Amino acid sequence: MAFLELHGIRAGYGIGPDILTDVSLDVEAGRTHCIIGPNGAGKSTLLRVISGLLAPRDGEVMFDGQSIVGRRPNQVLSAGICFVPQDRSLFPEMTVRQNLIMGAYLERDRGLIAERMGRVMEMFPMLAARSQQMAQTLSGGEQHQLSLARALMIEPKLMMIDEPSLGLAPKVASQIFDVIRRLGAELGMTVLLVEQNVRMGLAISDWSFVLDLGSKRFEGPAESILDDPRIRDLYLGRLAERKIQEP
Amino acid sequence: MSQFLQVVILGVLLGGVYALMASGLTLLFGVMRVVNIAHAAFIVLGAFFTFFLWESIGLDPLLGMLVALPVFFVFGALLYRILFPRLEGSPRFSEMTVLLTFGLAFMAEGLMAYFFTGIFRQTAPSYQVDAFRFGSFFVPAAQFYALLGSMVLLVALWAFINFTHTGYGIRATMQNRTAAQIVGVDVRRVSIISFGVGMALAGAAGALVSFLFPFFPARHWQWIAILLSLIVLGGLGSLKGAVVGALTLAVVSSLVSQYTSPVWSPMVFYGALFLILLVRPQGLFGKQGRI
Repeated sequence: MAFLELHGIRAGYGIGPDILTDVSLDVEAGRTHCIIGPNGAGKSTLLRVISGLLAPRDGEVMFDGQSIVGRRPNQVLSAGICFVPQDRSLFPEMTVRQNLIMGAYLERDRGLIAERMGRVMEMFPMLAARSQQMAQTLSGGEQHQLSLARALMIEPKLMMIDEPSLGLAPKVASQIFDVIRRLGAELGMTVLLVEQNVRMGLAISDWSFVLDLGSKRFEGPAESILDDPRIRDLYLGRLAERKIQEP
Repeated sequence: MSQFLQVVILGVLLGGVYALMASGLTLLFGVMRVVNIAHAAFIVLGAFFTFFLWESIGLDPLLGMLVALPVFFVFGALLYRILFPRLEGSPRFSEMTVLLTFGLAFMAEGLMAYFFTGIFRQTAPSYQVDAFRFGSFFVPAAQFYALLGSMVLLVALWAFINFTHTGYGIRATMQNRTAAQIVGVDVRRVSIISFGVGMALAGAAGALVSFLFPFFPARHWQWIAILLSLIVLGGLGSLKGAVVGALTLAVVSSLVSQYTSPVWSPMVFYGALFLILLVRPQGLFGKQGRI
């Protein structure tokens, strides 16, 4: 049995149409997985479903042997799944330090919180230097680091990260990717990544899922998936079709 | 000059109570974007609750306030639990809460009129007619105790929000609801507790109001207008804003009442509302585009 299993997930927002029509996939423990696919494929929606922010209309989510579908976000988090959304979702009027403390909201052991704080500050020296600064005064890259650091405060078993490179300068983005790579390589964490910058995302991943129009098309090892001819159809083929349709 | 200062003192005394009346309203908006049109109706309910205890067992309204706090907390938490979950997730949540609480205001008013009739009521504790003298200034005892009661509750609220685990969850939810969910705050629970706290504050404010102003069931329409105007001035969702807005408008309206005519003093609140919406719609301490 895989670490995280999705079976036939169907989901959408409000009374809108299905964004995900039928997604099934397995995430293996200790590996980094990257979900790729064109805009509107449903990648972010999938992460929202797993995190409990969006209840699926149908389907099953199994994590570590138990069903977590229908659980509220705080319950999913205490099961060990942490989500870093693409808008960073920080607390703008709290300091860097307070944001990190909020990251460990479910942990009541103060000693443990202090210990993790030390470790996280070591990993992100920039945050240590700015610990008393309000989160809203940080730059985009710094905010990204803070949201990753905050997620580490709960020491999740599975870390889901949505579009870590969004809106970042290439140099800053590669720093962020380096941190994510270390999560898997050094801390042995299981990572599920959604990334528009396909090459960078795949470079730090072991396995890849290709999503399109609300369902998984295929999957494969991250280093060879770009060689798959179906990838070209997906990105370029659809693009070409659209060009023809819109004269 | 001394008359001016005397009027300012009376304005501050009034403003402190307004701040308490508004605190629950701004808290509910800040935490869950609920615009509670029924807030002032629940204040009047708190006043009738205190009046009932005063009439039936002779309980002092200040002690009545201590009884009102837990009773109204439970009432608020239950009310939220029963009525609001079906609105959660609606894309027009805030607008829906206006309709829902508008209906609640009418229901509360109708029930109060049924049980207590529509005549003016007021509790009359012994200190209601006393006054303290400081040199040439005088401070009515009732207003002084009401201000003290308000301050104690506002400080307690501030401490609760800033120094408790649940308070951290409330602040997190106010600043970014999604982020709060992501770090494990149970926003449903936070909402229920906040609604309970907001209701407890309304009940407590009602207890103080019961000996300050004569009240009757429909009095709440006038108060909700005043309360909305002062939290708009302070910035929706900001506790500090509610206090500053309340003190400012109460002092200004007292001055206007003294130097022109009492007829003009309610104008201050509506005038301020128009002005702030034109000049700085987010209010003094609010954030732009947060609604």
